[in-house]
Amino acid sequence: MNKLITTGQTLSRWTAWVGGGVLLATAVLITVEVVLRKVFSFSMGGSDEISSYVMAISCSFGFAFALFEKAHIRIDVLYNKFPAVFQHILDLMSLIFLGIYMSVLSFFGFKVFWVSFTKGTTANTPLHTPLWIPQLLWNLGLWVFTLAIILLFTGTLVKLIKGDRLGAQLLSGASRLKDEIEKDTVVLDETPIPGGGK
Amino acid sequence: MIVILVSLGILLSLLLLSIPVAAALIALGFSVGTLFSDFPLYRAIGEISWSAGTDFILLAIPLFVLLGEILLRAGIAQKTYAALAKWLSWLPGGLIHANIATAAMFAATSGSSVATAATITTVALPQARRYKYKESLFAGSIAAGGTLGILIPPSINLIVYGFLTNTSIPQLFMAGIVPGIILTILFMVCVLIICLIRPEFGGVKMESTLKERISSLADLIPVFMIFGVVIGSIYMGIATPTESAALGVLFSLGLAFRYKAVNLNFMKEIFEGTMRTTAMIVLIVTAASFLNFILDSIGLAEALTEFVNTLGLSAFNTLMVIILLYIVLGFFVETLSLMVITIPIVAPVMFGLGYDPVWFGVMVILLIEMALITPPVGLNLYVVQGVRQTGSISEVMMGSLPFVIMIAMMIALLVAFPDMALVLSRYVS
Repeated sequence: MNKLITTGQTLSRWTAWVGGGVLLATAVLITVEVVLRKVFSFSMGGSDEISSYVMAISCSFGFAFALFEKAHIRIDVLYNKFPAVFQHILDLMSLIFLGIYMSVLSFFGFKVFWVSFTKGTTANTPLHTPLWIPQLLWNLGLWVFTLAIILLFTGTLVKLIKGDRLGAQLLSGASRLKDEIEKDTVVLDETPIPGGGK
Repeated sequence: MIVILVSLGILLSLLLLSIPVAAALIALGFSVGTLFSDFPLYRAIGEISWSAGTDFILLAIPLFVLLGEILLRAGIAQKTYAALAKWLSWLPGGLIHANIATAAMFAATSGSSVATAATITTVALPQARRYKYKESLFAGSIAAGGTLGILIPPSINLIVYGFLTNTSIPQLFMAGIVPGIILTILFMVCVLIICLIRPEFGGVKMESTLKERISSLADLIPVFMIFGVVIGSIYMGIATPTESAALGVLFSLGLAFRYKAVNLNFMKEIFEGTMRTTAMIVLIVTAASFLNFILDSIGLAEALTEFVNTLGLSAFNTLMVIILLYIVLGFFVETLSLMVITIPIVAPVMFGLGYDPVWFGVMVILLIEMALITPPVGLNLYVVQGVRQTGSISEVMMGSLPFVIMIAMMIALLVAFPDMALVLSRYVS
């Protein structure tokens, strides 16, 4: 079980790198489009469409990464005041709610893909993109997220049954501000001394 | 009316039970859809999520987050702070002005207020101790300064507001500029007055020569240029907000190269940071757009507008009620969540009463800024305290109190002079 979760975390990190990379690529694509349009009055067309698909797909895969990183916002005013047992119950409940949301969305997201696929729908744009291609990838990301939720839920439950409370908390407890700060604080080695000091 | 009470009840209980905000919004959508409509509305969730996920306007969010990550992880916040300190430290209150100015500039470009406040606290706080500043005011100024960024464009919160209410994002961006600048000045004037009355709050004065200041411009100008590229291209109609974000990303990456910050690890970190924040925001916005659809289908906005009309409240009094509502909710709910749960309900009523959507957007942002630094859930307060680690959170709260009053003053100003927000937005379509 532990190994499965670690693998999931590693894979989700990879998808985050790829997702961030393709987002950066869309920034390049869009910039080229803007420059061509303004300077040479020439448009490649389609850069907005392609980047929209990129966003949908990279985000749908990013959901699972954000889950492992505890980035999905939970309001913890009361949570922090509850006894640990109750916190574990709320952690599991949170995953159940997310799981219901995502299984419904994945199912109907699949229908979106399936309709486009069977009807051969193309985008109403100059590119005539067969919509099933981006929709399939997008839907795949949603299923991955659903799986990640199930994995995390099972993992937490197993840890709780074994009595490993800390392990359960590390897996699915609400994120602690301390960890967030650690992740997000960026101070380079050189310390700037403002004003030159005296 | 019963619809509203039931929905609010469901939503608040789920949120307070720490159910992830996106899942709570969907749970509300499902239950309201089943209770108050005969159609299986939930079936639309696939189509709605796909169209929200591929909305070109929303693409501005990941790109602005990426822009912020690049600037932050290239260490540009530190350089900006050092440069601004040289320019502002002669004022009574010294470095506190640099805190506010740096926080304003950085929160504006960074998607995460946690990241901005945490980084500036880490850089600035050792200086506060070294130069014997009153630490509560010093810390409070960082917490409060960090809120300026959601008002000064490019602001992700304004994009979310524009998306949920179908309001022009270029207009919202322009509308944020003047109030943003005025509020920054109000903050600084407030510090100035406090430190004139109590000079010991302002720490030991530091001197910097004109030469030092001029040479620090090399670190300051690039950041202003990014702001200029992003906002200028929107203002002149060269680019849409999403396109301007893309321009900003490349520009800031160039800057990171110039500072020799770019390597494989740097790229991994900015990609992870970007996906973490983006996925979190997009999931909430996707859920909110589904909830919006449900509330729309059951005719909630009409019912609510009618209800407000039967109450016989004037437009102004309704606004006061709404402001009060935000202040109260702001005590308990975090910013983005506060926006997505209130806007679908409140905005149509306000528009129905004749308030300008762009103006109301700026008003909502101001109210949310206040929520960021009012206890018990003022996120920025806890971030600053989290980095500080000594002393008590109540010192940070006390230190940010003067700034809460300034925001309240700004809200009053905006009500009295709506043109503050609208003057620039008239120039873009």
